[in-house]
Amino acid sequence: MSILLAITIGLLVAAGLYRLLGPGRIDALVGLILLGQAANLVLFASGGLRHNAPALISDGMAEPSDPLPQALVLTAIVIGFGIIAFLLTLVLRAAGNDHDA
Amino acid sequence: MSEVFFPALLPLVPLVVALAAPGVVRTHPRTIATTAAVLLAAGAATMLAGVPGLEPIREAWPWVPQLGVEIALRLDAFTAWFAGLVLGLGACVMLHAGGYLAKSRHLPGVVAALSGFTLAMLGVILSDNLYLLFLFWEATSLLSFLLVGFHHGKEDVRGKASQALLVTLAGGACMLAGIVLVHAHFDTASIVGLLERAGDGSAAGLSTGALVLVLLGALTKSAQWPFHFWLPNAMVGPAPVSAFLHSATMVKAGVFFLATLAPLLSEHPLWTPLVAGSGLLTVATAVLRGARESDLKALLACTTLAALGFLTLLAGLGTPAALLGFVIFLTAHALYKAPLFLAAGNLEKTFGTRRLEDLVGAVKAAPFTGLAFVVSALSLIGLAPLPGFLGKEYLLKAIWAYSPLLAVATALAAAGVLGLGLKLLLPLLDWRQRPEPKKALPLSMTVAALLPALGTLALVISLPATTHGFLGAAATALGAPEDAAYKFWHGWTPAFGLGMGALVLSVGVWRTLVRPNLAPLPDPLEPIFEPAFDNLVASIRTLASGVGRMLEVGRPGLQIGIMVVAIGLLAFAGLDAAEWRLPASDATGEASVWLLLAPVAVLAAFLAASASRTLTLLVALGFVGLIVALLFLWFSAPDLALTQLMAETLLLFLLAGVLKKTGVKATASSFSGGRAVVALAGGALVTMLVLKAMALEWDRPVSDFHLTHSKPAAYGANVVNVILVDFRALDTLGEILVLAIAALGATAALGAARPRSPLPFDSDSPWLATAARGIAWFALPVSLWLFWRGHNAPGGGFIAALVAATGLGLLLLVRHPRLDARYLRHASRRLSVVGLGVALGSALMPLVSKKEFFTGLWWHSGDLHLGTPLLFDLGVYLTVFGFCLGFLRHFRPNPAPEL
Repeated sequence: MSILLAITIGLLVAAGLYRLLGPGRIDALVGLILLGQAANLVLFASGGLRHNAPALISDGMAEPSDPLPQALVLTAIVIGFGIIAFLLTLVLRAAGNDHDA
Repeated sequence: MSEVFFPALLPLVPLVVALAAPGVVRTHPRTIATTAAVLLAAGAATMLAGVPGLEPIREAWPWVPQLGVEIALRLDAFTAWFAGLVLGLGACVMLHAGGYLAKSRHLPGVVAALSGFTLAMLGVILSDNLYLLFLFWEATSLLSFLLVGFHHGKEDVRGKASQALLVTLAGGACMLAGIVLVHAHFDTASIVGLLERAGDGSAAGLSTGALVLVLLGALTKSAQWPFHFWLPNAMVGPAPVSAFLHSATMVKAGVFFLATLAPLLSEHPLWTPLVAGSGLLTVATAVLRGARESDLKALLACTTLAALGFLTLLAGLGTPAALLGFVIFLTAHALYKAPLFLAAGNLEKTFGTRRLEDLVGAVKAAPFTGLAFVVSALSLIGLAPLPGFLGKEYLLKAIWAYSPLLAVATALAAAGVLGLGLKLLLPLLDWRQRPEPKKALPLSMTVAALLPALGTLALVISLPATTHGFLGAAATALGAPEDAAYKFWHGWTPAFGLGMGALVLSVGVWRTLVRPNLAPLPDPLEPIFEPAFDNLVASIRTLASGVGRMLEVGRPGLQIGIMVVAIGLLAFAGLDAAEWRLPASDATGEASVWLLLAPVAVLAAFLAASASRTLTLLVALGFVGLIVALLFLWFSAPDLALTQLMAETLLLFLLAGVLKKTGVKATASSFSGGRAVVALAGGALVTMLVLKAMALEWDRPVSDFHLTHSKPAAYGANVVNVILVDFRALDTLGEILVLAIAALGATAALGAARPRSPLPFDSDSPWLATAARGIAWFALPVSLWLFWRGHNAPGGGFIAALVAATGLGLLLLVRHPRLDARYLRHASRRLSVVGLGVALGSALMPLVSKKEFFTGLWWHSGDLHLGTPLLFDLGVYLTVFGFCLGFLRHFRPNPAPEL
C-alpha cells in the first residue's frame, strides 16, 4: 500500500517535471500544479497512512489520525492555490501586454 | 549600562536628528553642525576626564551564548583616552563639515554618516567581544565608503570608494575567519580574557593560518603594505571626511586592533616579522610615492601611510617599550593629521587649488588656517618639544632596544618622512609671494582646523604635569610598563642621536625632492599590487557576466532544468542509498479502492503532462485533484478532502477563465527525450525519498501534545482546526498575510482600473443563470455552517471561505446588477484588510488582560465554548474569501452597457 502510494507520488512528480521543463507559456504553470499535488501527498504520507481512523477526538475511541501533517497540508493546499492564482494573473498580464504591443 | 559608557552614545543624537529631520539640517547647516560638535566635544571631555585613576570596567549582556557571542564592552585608561580622541576630533570634523558642505544638498547624509562612523569607531574601541568588534569594524568600512564616495556623481570617485570598500571588506571577511580560529584556540572571544592569556605561551601554538587571517583584516584596514594603495585613492572624499578617516578613525582601527592584541600574539614567532615588516615596507613605499606627489591632500595621505607604518612597526614589536611609543605616536599623529587635512580643505576653499606650487606663501594669506597648518606640520616633522618629537623619540628608543640595526633602518625611513613634511611645509611658508584668496571662509572652518592644533600645544604645555594621569596611564593600560610617563629629555641616548640624524638627513632629502631636474626614485613594486587587485576585481566581474550570459538564453525550461537537476543530485547524495529498508507492510487490507484509483491518477497526470488541448488539460487536472481528494478522505483526513475539492474547483475555474480569456493554447510541444529522462529520474528519486521517510518509526511528541490538549485546553474535537487557529495560530496569521499580499500583487499586476475584456461566452443563458443563482444561495449558508462547526467537526475558516468563494464564482458568471467591477474590487480589498485586522485583533486581545500574545480567551455556557480562536478563524475566513474574490473578479462576463 505504502509502496503503491510512493510510486504514484513519483509518477505525479515525473509528469509535473516533464511539463515544468517544457517551453510553452503555461507549461510551467501546469507543471507546478502537478508538483504541488505530489508535494502535498508527500507531506501527508509522512504522517503515516491509516484507513478509517477517527478524524475527531472523542472519549473512548481509537487513536485518531495524526493531525499535524493534515494541518500542514491544509495550509499548503491553500497557499499553493494562492501561488497558482497569482501565476495565472501573470499569464493574464503577459497576454495583455502582447495585445498592447 | 555603566554611566562611563554614556558619552560614547552621544553621536546617536546628531544621527537621529539628521535622519529624522534632514530639512532642518539643510536650512540650518552651521547651527546643527555646531550643536553636534559641542555635544561630541562634551562627550570627549567626559571621556578624557575619566582617564586618571580609571579602573578597567567590563560589562556584558548575553547575545548568542551558544556561539560565545555577547554584547560586551570594556573601558580602561587607553580605550577611554582613544575614545576621547575620537569624540574630540569628531567634534572638530563635524564643525568643519558644517561650513565645508553648508551648501550641499547631501549635508544631512554626511552628518548622519559622520555620527554613525563615530559610533562605529567607538564600538570598535570599546567592544570586548571579538565578534561584536567585527560588526563595528565592518560598519566603519561601510560608512567610510559612503563618506569617501560623497561626490558619487563622478565615476572616478565611485571607483576609488568601491576599491577602498572591497579591500577593507575582503580583509574583514578574512578577519572574521581568523577570529573564529582564535576563539577556538584560546576558548574565549573576550579581549580581556585573551589578554589574560598573555605570557602563558599559548599564543605560540596558534596556527599560522589563523594569525595570517587576523593580520589580513588589520593590515588591509590600516592600509599597510601590500594593501596600501587604497588610502591615497580614498582622499577623493571631502576634506573633513579625509581628516577624520586619517586622524582618529578607520585606518586607526587596524593599528588599534594590532596593538591591543600585540601583548598576546607577539608570542607567535611569525607576528613580528609579518607585522613589523609590513609596517617598514609601508613607510618606504609612502616616502617614494610622496616624493612624486604635488597635490596637498595626496601628499598628506602619503604621510598618513608612513605614520601608520610606524605604528604597525611598533605593534609588530609588541614589547612594553614599543607600546609606550605607540600611545604617544598615535596621539601625536591624530592631533596633527586632523588639522593638516582640515587646513588643506580650508586652503582649497580659499584659493581654489590643492597644488603645492599654487599655494606658495599661503600661510601669509590665510594666517589662522596657516597657524594650524604650521604647528601641525612642525609636529609631523618632529620638532621638539611638539608631540611628534616625543613620538619619534619613543619610537626609535623602543626599536633600538629591540634591534639597533632595525632602529637605523627606521631612522632612515623617518628621514624620508620628515623630508615629505618639509616638502609640505616650506612652500607654504614662503614670505616672498602670496596667492590671491578667492573666497572668504566661515569662521567655523578656521576654528575647526585650529582647535586640534591648539590641542597639540595644550598637550605640550600640560604634559609634565599630567603625563602620569593621562597618557602614561593610557600606555600602561595598553601594555606599557607600570607607572609609565613621558618626558622630553632622556639624556644623550642613541635614540636621540638617531632622531637628530634623521632630522638633519631630512633636509638633504627635501633638497633632493625640490630639485626639479632630478626625477624622484620610482617605487619598483608600485605597478604590482594595485593593478593586481583591480585585475582580480575585473576578472571576477567578467566571470560573473560570462556565467550570466551562458545561462540567460531566454529559455526558462533550461534554467529550471539546471535547478531541478542540481536539487536532485543534492537530494540523491543525501539519500544514503546503500542504507535501505522498505516500510513495514501495513496489512490494512483496505487498499483495494486505491489499487483502482492510483492508475487513474497516474493516467490523468500523464494526460495533463502531454495534453495539447485546453479541455483535455482541464479535465485531466481535475481528475488528478479529485483523486487526491479521495485519497485524503480514504486515509482519515476529511478536512483535507474538503479543502482539496474546493481549492481544485476554484483553481480549474481560474485556469479555464485565463486560458479562455487570453487565448493561450495549452499546446504541448513535441516529445523530448531529455525532459523525459530528467522527469522520470526525479520521480524515481521522490519515490525513494517517500519510501525512506515512511519506513521511519516516528516519535510523535508534537502530535501527541496536540491530541492530548486539544479538548481540555482548546475546547475543540477537530484537532486539525485547533492546530490552525489556536496551537499554531501565528503560522496561520503569516499564511493569510501571504494570501492578502498575493491578492494585492495580482491587483498591482493587472491594474485596478483598466477595463478588462469580458469573458467570451454567452452568459445570458437562463439555465445557467438560474442554476448559478441557486447554487450560490445554497453555498452561502453551507459555508457559514462549515465555519461554525469547524472547531468540533470537519470544516473551519479555510474550507468555509473556499465554499463561499466557489458559490460566488458561479454567481459572477451571470450578470448581476450589484456585482460591478468597482464594488468587487473594494469588497475584495476590504475583506482582506478587515480579515487580517480581526485575526490580529484576536491575537492582541489577550494582551489587554495581561496574558501572552495569542492566548485563547474563552467564554463558556454549558456545552457552548466561544473564544478568541473562533474570532481568529473568522479573520481567516474573511481574508481567504477576500483573496478569492480578488482573483475571481477578473472573470466577470460582459457588464451591462453603461448608461
